[in-house]
Amino acid sequence: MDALLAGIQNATSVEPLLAILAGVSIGIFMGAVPGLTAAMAIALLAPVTFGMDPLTAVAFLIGIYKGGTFGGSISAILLNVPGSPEATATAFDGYPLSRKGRAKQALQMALYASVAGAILADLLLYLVAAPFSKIALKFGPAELTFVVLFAFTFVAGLTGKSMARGLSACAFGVLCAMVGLDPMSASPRMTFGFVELLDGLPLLPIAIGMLGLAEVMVAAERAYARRRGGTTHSAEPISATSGPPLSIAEFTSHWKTILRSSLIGSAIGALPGIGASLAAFVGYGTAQKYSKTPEEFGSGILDGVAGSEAANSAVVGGSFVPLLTLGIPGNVSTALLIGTFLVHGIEPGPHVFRSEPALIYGIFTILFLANFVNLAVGLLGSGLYSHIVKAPEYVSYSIIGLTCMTGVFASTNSLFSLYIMIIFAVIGYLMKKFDYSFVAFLIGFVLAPEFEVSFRSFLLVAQGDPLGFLIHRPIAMLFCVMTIFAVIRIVWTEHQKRTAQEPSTSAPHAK
Amino acid sequence: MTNRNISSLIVALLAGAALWFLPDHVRGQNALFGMNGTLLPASALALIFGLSLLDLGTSIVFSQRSDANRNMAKVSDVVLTRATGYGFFLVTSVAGLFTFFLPWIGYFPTATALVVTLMFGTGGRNPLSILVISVLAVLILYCGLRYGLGLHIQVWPDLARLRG
Repeated sequence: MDALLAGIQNATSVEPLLAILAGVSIGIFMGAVPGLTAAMAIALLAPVTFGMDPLTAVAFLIGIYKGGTFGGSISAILLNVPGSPEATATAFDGYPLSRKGRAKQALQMALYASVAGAILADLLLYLVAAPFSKIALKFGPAELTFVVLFAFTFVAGLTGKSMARGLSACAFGVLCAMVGLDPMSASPRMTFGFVELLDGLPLLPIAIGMLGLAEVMVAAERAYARRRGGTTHSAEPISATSGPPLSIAEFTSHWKTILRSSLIGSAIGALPGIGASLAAFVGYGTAQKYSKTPEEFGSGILDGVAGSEAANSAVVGGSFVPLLTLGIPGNVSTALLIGTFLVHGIEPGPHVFRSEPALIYGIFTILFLANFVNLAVGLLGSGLYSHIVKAPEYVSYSIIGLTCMTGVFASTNSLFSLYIMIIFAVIGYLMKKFDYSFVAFLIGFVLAPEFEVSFRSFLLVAQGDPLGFLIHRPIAMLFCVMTIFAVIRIVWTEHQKRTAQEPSTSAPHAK
Repeated sequence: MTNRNISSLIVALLAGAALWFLPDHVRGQNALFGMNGTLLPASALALIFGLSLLDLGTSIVFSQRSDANRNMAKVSDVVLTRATGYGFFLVTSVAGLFTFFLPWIGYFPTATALVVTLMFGTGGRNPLSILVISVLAVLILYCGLRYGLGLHIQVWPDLARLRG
């Protein structure tokens, strides 16, 4: 109880509250601008938090994460261009609503559903995380090895278009994480004579390069294509204040959809690698399935906006379950959050519940508060943000380029980090082009050191008989079996997908 | 052969070569610590090598089954155009030059040049607005870093260094 009160007290002091406000405002802005995402904002602004105290830093980044998830819906509704991938399903009904002159209602429904979904997910996190961490405390090296292995398989199999490329990206992430000193023997590995590499490849330059600078390359490519005539004309933006506001009765009439989508989003968020985009589509699809008027979906219906927005926002709370209890990130944003947590001396995992309960309750409180700040900023600032989404692409991407370069240099004070960022921007750009999942790469990179230490400790304690040791560890055995099943299922799904894609070879004979 | 297949082949070749050279870049006999320090990086490389060849093999077999499959593989292939090369070249060269010149001519000139070039490169056409926005962006970012976070960055050219 003391820890709870201390956590609430710490989280409600001025600095974390201001940090949430700043984070949410920046997050909504980044989410609203097409092509920029909350993950990119977290990567770019993580260095800014290094001078803050841990809770303020966490508050700032959580604010960005929450704000960015809602922000994507603004351009989806007003421009029919999703600001972030998870807002794609929102555009299905959000933009037709705007065309009907109900933009204000659509935006307010997106905001209220986002906030409601996030609050429900945070409540679930609060209920589930502490008991789950008690189970996780029993995890030894064998359990951790197979939990991480399961996460690798799951993420690599589900992200991207091809299993082989997903797994390759994950393996590449693991390989990059092996650069530096061997964690057990302290002998150098793959440092190629560079003293700077003894500490390993730094996470932030890699993430900023792959997320930020690679996106600037894509923008330059688009600009060139536009200049050469292959132009894509975006829709004219609609005013955010057009149409009547959303009434309380209209909002509450969609409570079943919001509740259902929130549960779906929370569950999907808790599974590593699936992400908010799929949650939004599943939430939207389920809302349509249970609707009395499914045929109206896509023509501009508030239920569609509520279904997708509640689901994608609930993913945030859900993704904190594996993050806080096992130290396993489920997506790019949480992988970057782990990196920042570590910089501030917080090692996410079951032990943190015991060693720093006040911090954990502080984080829970921040998650709750961020929803209300999101609501306030969203309500007051939607008019302003609708102007921001009209900012020319060349302005936003050039400033992103500058922020990438300056952010990395300022945080590391090393030109070497800038070169690493440029190299990984090139790698990220090529990975994006050739469907190698960046999410799988980053999760491989973040989890590999933990995996290596656990695996090697497991081999040491098994004393030459890992299988015999595994039989006496039921949780590890369970995750081992689940990993095998996940591989079989992914291979089977891949085979089915390929067979389904195959055009009918009998077609010419049918003529 | 599609661009996707070529990429799989290149990745497989790179992984194979890296697998070959890996033992030279892992120092020390550390098998005492559960396993040798080479094992995990080698496993990762072997996985990339094997999966890339698998991807290449299945893709070739799939496209050889029928003309329809071959057409589909071509249609769904990754398109590499001049625009791709332009985006790639613009950003890497501008970022590389920024990194190279930063210690010589300082933050203000390099950062302003970076933003101006990127704005031109990504579609900006009005020189005056580009210059004003660039200078403002650099100033705001610098002030944030200097007075918000207390960071010191060399702002102007280092004349002593330039004179050699």
